[in-house]
Amino acid sequence: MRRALGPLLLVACAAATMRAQDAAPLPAALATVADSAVRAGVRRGPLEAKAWEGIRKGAPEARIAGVLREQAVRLAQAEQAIGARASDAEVAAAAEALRAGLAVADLRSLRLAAGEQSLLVPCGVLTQLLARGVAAPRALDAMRTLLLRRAADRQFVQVGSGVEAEAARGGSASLALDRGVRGISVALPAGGGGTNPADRTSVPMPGGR
Amino acid sequence: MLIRRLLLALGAALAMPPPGASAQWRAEAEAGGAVLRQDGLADARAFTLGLRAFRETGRRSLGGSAVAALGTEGGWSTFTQVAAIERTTPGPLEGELAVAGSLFGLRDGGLVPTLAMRPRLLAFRGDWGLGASFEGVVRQQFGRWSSAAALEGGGWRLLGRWRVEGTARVVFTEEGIFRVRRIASPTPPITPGGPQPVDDGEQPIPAPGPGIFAVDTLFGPRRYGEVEATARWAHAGAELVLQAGLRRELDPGERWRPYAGATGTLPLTGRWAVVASASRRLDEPARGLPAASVGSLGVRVALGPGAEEARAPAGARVDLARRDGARRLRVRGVDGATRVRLRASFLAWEAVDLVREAGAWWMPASVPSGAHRIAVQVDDGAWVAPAGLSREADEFDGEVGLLVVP
Repeated sequence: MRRALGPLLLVACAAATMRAQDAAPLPAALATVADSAVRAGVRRGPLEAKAWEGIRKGAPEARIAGVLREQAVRLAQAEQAIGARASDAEVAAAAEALRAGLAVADLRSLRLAAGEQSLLVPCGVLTQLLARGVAAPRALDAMRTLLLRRAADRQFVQVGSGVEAEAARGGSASLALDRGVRGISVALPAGGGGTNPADRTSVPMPGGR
Repeated sequence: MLIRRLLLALGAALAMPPPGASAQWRAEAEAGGAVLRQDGLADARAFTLGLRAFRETGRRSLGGSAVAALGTEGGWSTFTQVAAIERTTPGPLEGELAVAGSLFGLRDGGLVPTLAMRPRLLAFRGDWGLGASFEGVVRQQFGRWSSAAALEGGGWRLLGRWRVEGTARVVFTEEGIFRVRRIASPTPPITPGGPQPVDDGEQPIPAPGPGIFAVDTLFGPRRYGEVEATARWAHAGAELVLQAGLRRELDPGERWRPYAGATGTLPLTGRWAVVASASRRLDEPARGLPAASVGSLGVRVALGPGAEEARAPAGARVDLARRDGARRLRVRGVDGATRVRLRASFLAWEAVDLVREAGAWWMPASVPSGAHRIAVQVDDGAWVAPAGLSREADEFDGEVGLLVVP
């Protein structure tokens, strides 16, 4: 019984901690910035999460306010690119990908390739790849290939982990990415098309449009 | 000779990174000192300053480096190089073409242009592979061109953090010459194949002071074979490269001659690192280098995006593991720590004390699916990205590790 309850208690404690933080009000100066952005249509959740990051890290309010304004722009761009039906976490991950160097048009191409599939994990792995120094076109092409072939989230993570392991050993992140995608692609159906941008027209639009 | 040799030693250190090296673009500056020892000549020392930039775009790489050296004996020289690599589509069998052009400028020696071209074929098989290449080099000095060619084959294997490589090559060169100004012994000995003080003839070089000689190194046509082993270890920004080989002239009666070298990079903090090397090299007639022993010590600073690579303390590594039926974050590699904390995006960046269980430090909660950013702190030290994870600079002058959980 103790073993069975252990993880439940842990999860409950963590959830309670996060709820308490979510409920805490932002300092007035930051709340003003956040409220202004929210009135303009930016999602409050991911925006306030960025504010809390700055607060917990001890950054001055003026600095946090500046970061919030930049984050608001990215969140708006991200939502516009990947669709209003995306979850807060998905939009936040897409915004971080923008910060890492991806272009808004790249996010749109990911959405086209993904169809209804969540972009949360693909955007997270994409950001990992960019952080590892993989060139953006190469990383984008790899993610799009996996999305078109309807790879599962764990397969995206598998590719990202393979790249990290190779890079940690001093190998080439780019070549590890290519090998990882190849290895997974052979086990997947052809899906909605190839990696050629021209194939994107055959991919269902979000929401079945 | 000092300047020439030092620059090429540094040139090797600052040369193009391996194909596919993980950087969109990156720049490094390095400053240090070096000591060179050659048979028959007094030891020489120099201060060196180098700059290197590199960019990878898709299957193309482009890089450049510039190095300046100032010898304590008054000589100086510069070395600049631009190199480009074009690769074929990645696959089990890949091809690449590397082209490098360099200019050597040195006091009283004019400019020495060198052009090298190397097509290479690589076969990848999981954690090992094979490669073969041909390299052609042309070089000009004193209005005279000389050329060299090398055929090379080898293989590599990844063993944990080590990459072990074996190579065999055959080198053919025309005769060549390279001149530098060096402090020599009062009566420089003349040894076959070694540095030869010569009378310049058409272009006499005035001696700037007692004991300073114009020294020409003459290389005749050569044919020789080499076998070489290289082991490279890298972890959390630290790197150690060991190399050893044997050379034998392809003429009857010749014997094998050994050479060896070691280079180490030790990260300090942030973008700074200490770089040290020591080597005992045989001559390289293809590039006009005489045999020498070289030791160098320098400080390197990384510039550009991704340069801020603060290291996790002593290999603190984070991974996901199941414990008590939950998927939890585990921190290992900090056995001597008395307190380990973690903060993450999915915890709204609230610091959480980890619990020590079963030889590791565990987060007392499960990890949700998503794209997370995390940092760890050991014994109230700095918050850093854990080793082993991709890292990025956050917007608040810190760094975080990226963890994606399906």
